[in-house]
Amino acid sequence: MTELPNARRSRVLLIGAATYEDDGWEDIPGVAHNLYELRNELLGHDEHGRSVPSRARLLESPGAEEMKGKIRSAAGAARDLLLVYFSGHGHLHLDTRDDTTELYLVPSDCPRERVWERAVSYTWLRNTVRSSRARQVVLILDCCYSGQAHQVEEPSQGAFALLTSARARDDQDQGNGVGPTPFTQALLVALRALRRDRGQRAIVSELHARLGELARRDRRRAEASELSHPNDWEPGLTERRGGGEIVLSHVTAPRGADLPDRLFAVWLRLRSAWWRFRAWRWWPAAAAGAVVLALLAASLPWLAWDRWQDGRAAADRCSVPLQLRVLTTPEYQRPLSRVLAAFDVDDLDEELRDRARSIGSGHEDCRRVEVQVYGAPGAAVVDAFEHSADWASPGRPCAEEEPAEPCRELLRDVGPLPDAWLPASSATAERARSATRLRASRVELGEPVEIARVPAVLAAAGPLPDVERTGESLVTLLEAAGDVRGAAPQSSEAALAHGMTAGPGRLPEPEPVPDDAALLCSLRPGGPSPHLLLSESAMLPLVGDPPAACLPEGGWRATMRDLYTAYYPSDVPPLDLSFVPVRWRDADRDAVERQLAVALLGAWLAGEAGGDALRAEGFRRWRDGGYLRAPEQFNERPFVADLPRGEDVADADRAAAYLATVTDEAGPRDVVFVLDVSNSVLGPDGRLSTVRESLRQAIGTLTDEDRFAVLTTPATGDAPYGVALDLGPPTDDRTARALDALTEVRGDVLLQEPMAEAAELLTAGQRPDAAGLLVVITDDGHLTDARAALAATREEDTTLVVSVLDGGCDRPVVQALTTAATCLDNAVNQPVELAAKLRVLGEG
Amino acid sequence: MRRGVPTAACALLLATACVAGGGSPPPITPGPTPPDDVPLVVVSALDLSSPDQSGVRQSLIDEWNEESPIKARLVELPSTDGDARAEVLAGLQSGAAEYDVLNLDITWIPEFVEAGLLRPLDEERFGALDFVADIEETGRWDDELYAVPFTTDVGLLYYRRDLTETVDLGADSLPEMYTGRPGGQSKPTYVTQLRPYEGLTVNVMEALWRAVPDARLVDDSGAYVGTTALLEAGLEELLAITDESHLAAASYGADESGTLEEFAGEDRGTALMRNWPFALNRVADRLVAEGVQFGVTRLPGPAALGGQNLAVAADSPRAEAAQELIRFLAGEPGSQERMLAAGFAPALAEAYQLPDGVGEIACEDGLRVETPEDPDPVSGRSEEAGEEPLWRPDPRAYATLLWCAVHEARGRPATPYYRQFSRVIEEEVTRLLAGGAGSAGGVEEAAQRIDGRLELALRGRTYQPSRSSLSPH
Repeated sequence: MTELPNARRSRVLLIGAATYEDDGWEDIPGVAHNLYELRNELLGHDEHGRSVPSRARLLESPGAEEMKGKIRSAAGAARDLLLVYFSGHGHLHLDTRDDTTELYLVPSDCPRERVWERAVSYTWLRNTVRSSRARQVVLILDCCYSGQAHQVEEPSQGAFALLTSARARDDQDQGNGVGPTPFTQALLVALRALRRDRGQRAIVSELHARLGELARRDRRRAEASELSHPNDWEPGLTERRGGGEIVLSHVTAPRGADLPDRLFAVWLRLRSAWWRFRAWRWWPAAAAGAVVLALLAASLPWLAWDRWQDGRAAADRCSVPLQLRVLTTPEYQRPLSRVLAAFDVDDLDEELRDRARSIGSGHEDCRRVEVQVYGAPGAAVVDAFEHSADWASPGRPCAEEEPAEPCRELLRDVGPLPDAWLPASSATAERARSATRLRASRVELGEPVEIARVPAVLAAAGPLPDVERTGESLVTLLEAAGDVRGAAPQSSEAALAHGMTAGPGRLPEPEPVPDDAALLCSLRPGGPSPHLLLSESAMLPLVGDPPAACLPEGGWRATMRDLYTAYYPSDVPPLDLSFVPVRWRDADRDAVERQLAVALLGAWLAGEAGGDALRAEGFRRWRDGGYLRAPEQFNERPFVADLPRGEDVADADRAAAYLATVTDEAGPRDVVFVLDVSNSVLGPDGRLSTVRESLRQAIGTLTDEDRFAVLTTPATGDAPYGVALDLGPPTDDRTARALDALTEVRGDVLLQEPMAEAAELLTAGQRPDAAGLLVVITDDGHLTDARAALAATREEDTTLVVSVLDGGCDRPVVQALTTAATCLDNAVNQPVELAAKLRVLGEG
Repeated sequence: MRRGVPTAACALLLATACVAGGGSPPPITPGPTPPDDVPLVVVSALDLSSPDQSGVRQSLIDEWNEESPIKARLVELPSTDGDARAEVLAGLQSGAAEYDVLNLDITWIPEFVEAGLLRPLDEERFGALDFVADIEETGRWDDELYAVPFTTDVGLLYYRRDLTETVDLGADSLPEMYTGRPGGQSKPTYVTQLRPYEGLTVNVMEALWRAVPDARLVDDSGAYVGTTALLEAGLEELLAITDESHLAAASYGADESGTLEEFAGEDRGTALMRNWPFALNRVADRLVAEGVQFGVTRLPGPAALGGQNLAVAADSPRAEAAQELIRFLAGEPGSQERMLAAGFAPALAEAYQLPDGVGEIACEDGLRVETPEDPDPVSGRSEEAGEEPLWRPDPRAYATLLWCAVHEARGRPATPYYRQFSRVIEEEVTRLLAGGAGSAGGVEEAAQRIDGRLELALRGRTYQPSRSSLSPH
């Protein structure tokens, strides 16, 4: 039976910032409702289900010092449960010194500028509660970006649970102010429902599951009513050491006495009852009843023993393992299946092994996780992530406005929804990432972790004249080889790496095969034995064991085995086989266990045992001295054992830019540039040259099928913006006029106005097959009404915000505008980055 | 006086209550009921009966939608067995999947039940249905009905008459059939599914049953009861079947569709093929057009029983409607007869339309269905728009063959850890086959490893091979 917190030894602190002193922060009236309604529900009932007086301390619209002081006080006093709840504004800050992102909880006296100097960081909160002697700790955050808190990975001493309301990079709906905010309202609903349902105690994990159902319900309702900005809330949970089992609804009511006093009170009652029994004239009948009770008592040990036996049997029985789905490329499916067949939590360190035992139930030797590995070509996978809603809800009807387009059957045609993705290159993961940040996305991709490297090679059918096997450039090897064949770069990361290095138009047309595995299978006896551009791992089945089943048996296969040799171009970036955790938004029921299982799998692959298994299948791992080494089991004649470190892995934007030039994927686009021409951007301390070069290169990426327009803000007179150029083709004349529009104008910048005009321009000039792009170049737009600006944009358009400031993407308005967009700031080479982004954004 | 009720008695009762009480994992509760215009979602593996996926399952769903106020939508899963199972299981475990009716392989039922993912069915609604053989038992677990047979399946032996003139199709085993045909020919004798997936496990079990007809690896409680001697016998039989002078090498990378390509594909051909009933029409469409005659008969020795059952997801908010749909799909003779016409083996006995009942069917030796010398186009039946099939089997003859094959078939082990059981077989037998056939040491070592690993796997324990066994086999 789940243990209830002790009321006297627990501390509940409910913090709500409903009103703010700085006008830059909008008041949140719903927060006040949050505190008063939660007070009665959190630990609000005793073990008999009776309401008990609330022991929660409410902190309404506190300042920073008061907030910190009360948190410290509660942490210091708690011995059983410490529960801290915060509702108010959240803020993300990117620290460019170490490239870390921190979540801040904004107190009522925090200014709008330099928020991080006044607000309470999650790290501070986490460290403070960690120092508490409380046996169990629960943090509940109802604020924007609260999901960022889950990135803080720290071991906890006792049971810990963190429950959040929003995704890491998203703000959330505040509600209408009449009643609690949406997340807290759902929390209240869940608490009450669980409590009323057979008097069930609400534990953290059950609450999280219920919250997930309610979030889905809210999302469906919002879609049905076509709300323009239903930025939905989404519950997240991290728990450690049994934190999911912490009870939040019931508490043991405080007694007046400590344990010895209570025992003495029981003894007094027993003695009193005995004397009254002796005075009773019906005592013989009562004595007979007592005998019956005694017989029952005698049978208790047997009952308990039997029950204990059943319990042992149940504890010994293993639950069905948690099923993980791991997606990779077709050529890696078989070897990675063999690698992951060796996955064993016993290879991990002690803490991770202990955590693994929280998955499922049963004996400690039970198999907790089952892994299924499957493969799909990279282009199909990227497309599937871009249409994650179709992938995750295959039962949805097709869009009626596209009757000519068949319904996507991604589950059937690509494969299961992955829990982890192992692309051959992290650049492929980045291709999919921007789409997964859009509002409609149902999936989140974690950060790729490299687990192996695979060189991209030229598999030569016979020795190449006058070249070495290593140290030569790709161009030199191609000249020596003459005709070569490769797969499509959309799905073959090796072909992409070769193509990027050689440059557009330098390689022959790719074979009509989707990937390296299919390229291999296209070889046939009787035909020529071509030189191949592919990855070293994909070459293995041609020259090693096990052979590719698709290649015809017999002497021909043996000939191929002896014929091919790998040449290693020194300037082609190696492929970094990466581990990417994948989280699906509606997978709430076992989210804690599933994410833990994925993390364990990733830790195993990145560790020693995983490394050995990968090397046994021909993948390369860093070894002593930093050299890449091939596994000793393999025949080294076709391969080179030790390779110098060489090039770093492929840059994702470079890869995407090359892909756009060869695949012709980008359809016609209508691009509206909204340029901030205020003094802070173009004045003496501004970035005129950077903005000019960015605009020039951005227009330079447009093709004859594209159109662009330019709006400037502020404008002369009292106009909030001016239309410098209407939608039209990217001619030299129009490009020059666009650059001329970069003239400083003094005035306030209210981006919502030109962004609304941009939406109208795109609507008025709508072409059926053209994608809409909005490019906003500004510094921080701090006077902008971000919500109004977002509301003015069209769902179907892609918005790219470019800040000329270092760390500009961290500024509040820019962050708000990038909810459904990507963002660039001056921390990187902006003109080149902008051009690369534009090549791949807004694909028709 | 009420307060004087002896505290000891209260303590006793409380203790009894605690002892008598039990605990079990919290059941999955259904989500909120969607509006009526949201269709029931039926999830199923790819329908191999039709290469363009316009198969019989979809046509049955279409028929339901014409009559029912609550519509249904078919969602197809990945084509490979392992991927399909992983998706349905993980989708339901995580709560991301919103399925109502699940079309599950019969070997998956115990696992899904133990995971709490299936809702018990209403016995009264389905109890009167008469299924062929004992296949309704495949839908039961712990004496409760969780799934109803939709199709059954059984391994069959297909043969090309142009390549089997000297082959004794009535021989007791495949190696005996080989003796009628010289080895090493350009068109091999036999093709089957030996890729590392469930198809390989099926072949291994069939080899085991041929070698030891009453062999069991798992008892009724799910415990492992095999022995190394038993396993050695089965592996020896498998090695004899995979004699490289007779076996098509493509078998090592083939699934059901790949096998069919080897048997009937252009510029290919094998004399014999092991496959399921779905392959009949597809083989006919290929070979008859080329003037090649073929036939189908029972496998020598017990064949594996397959099939798919229909179940209701535990979290489906429309369980009643889902059961009605299942009743339509599985319980209507018309629906089942269409399965037979599409090549599947129906689950409902009535769909076979055989006279005289179970006890009267003569399952003779040599029971076969063959293409005639000059097959006439089947009038009034078209599989694809504008095309009529060149040949379809006589319904009664084919139904009789299937009936007999199903009744003689054997089920694979019923255990919640069936996936783990199959994985051990796949890994170890693949290793054995790659290491070179005919080595006594190889068979003995493989049998010992399988024996040790299965004992662990069938108790749900970890069963990884030792590090030394990791090799690029």
